[in-house]
Amino acid sequence: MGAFRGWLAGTGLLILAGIAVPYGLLPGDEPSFAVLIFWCLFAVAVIGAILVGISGWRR
Amino acid sequence: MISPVLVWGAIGAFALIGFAVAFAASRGNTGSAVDYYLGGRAIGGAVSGLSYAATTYSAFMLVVLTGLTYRGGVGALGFELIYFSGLSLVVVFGPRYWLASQTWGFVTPAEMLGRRYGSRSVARATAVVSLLFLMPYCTTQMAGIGLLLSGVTGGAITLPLAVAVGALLAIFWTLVAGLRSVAWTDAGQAAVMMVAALLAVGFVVAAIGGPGAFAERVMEERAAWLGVPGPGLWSLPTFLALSVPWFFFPLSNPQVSQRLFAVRDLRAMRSMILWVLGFGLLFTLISVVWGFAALILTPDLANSSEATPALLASGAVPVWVSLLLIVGILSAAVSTLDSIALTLGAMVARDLAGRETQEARQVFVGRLVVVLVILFAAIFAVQQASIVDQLAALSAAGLIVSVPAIVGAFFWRGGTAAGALASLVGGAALALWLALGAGISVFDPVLCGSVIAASTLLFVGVSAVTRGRPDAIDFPGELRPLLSRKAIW
Repeated sequence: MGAFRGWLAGTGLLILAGIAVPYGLLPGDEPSFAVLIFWCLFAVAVIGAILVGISGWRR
Repeated sequence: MISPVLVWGAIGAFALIGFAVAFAASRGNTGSAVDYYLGGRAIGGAVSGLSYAATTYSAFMLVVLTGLTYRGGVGALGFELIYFSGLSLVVVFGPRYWLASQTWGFVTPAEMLGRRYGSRSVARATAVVSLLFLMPYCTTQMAGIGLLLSGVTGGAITLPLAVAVGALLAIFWTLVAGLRSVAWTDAGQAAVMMVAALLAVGFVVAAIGGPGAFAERVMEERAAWLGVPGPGLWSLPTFLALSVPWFFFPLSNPQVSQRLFAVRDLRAMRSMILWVLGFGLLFTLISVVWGFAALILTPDLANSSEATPALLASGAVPVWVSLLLIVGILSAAVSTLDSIALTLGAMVARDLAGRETQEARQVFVGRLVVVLVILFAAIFAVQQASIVDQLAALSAAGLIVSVPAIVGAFFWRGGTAAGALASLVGGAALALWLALGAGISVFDPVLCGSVIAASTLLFVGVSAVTRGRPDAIDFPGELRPLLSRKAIW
């Protein structure tokens, strides 16, 4: 269950970061693609987390 | 404007191919309820994945999400990606749903909850909540078809006629072979959606001058749209109000969670998840890029939901690609509609009418409900009733009331039938009162926050002071050895 809890905590933090980082850290007066790029990286990280989650399943 | 003759030709070709696929899929049917509603629990990974994607990524994407991007900018991407991240719930609950359905033979998510808590009332309440919030949602899919076809033809294809076409396709593909025909036509429709959207977005980006020029023009002309809250729409409260209920979509929406019963094995489920991840990310990016392209090529639209018809009529997209995209959006709407109708049919046939009835009768009742649900959606889409629009907007926040009982079913032995029932009924009543009585908008996080808090507190609180039913099934205990054998957390 330790691995499950670790995965759950990591994925939960990742999803929270998907909201907190653009709203808390990235907004600025300078126009940029930072938010767009961050959310694209966030999507890749979500895919990574899900791949880790399903990688051990046996048939 | 596109010639209605060409649009009819494209729809006709699409319908013919769909009919052929549906009839081919029907050959495997044996007439049992499990066969009709779950494809005999033998759907493979790729078809499951594409069908799941076509069901979950509806006409919303290229109509509403594009409009939200047009109106508010990059926040629409974040909102959709939080929804996308909800697929992580399938990692935890997908194998549990599948193992439970294999072990106890569940056909609907409502039936699963009812048996878990040992109460037919829980199953019935889950089915009623699903009917209440999903039927209006079907209406928005119908309205999307109507607005698109009448919009691109300048009204030559009228709203009622367009809605009738969507209704006929959805009814036919669901009636022929249940989930088999729905899944196979969904898979084909997902492919059409993706190819059409990729081509269309390629042409509009090329019309702007390529990716570099596109990025430069967005930066020069619409810099505010690149941040959050952007030009105003995506304040943090609005973002949370929309994202949080949608995050739970894989659990709260039975037309999606029922798919977890239908996969052949865990390998197919893993493959399904991979297909949905790939499709979902690509389709999300396409829809957002499409919205930004509309901002550049068709600026200053009064109504942001007209961004897609305006872009198709802008001349940037060749007519044949526009026709393909129209068919793609029609596909997105029909595939969502028929999946919802089939799931609601299964819930009425098994959870409201009763599982004791003969299998053939269950299939007959389900077919009847499919027709009624789609007719309801068609009639109200044409009438544009405001109460239906309000309920449709409320669907994500309303359906979330089932989540505490679902989580508790697998992870809390203390959950009881009374707790689940109180959570479902109390949460749904609160959602209706807040939205229709107190007039709180779905853009206000007070609505979803209150509904989540109330349904969770009711579930935990009432469960704490009541006893579980003797015929309740101990999912956490009974599934543990099976989960361990499959190396599932």
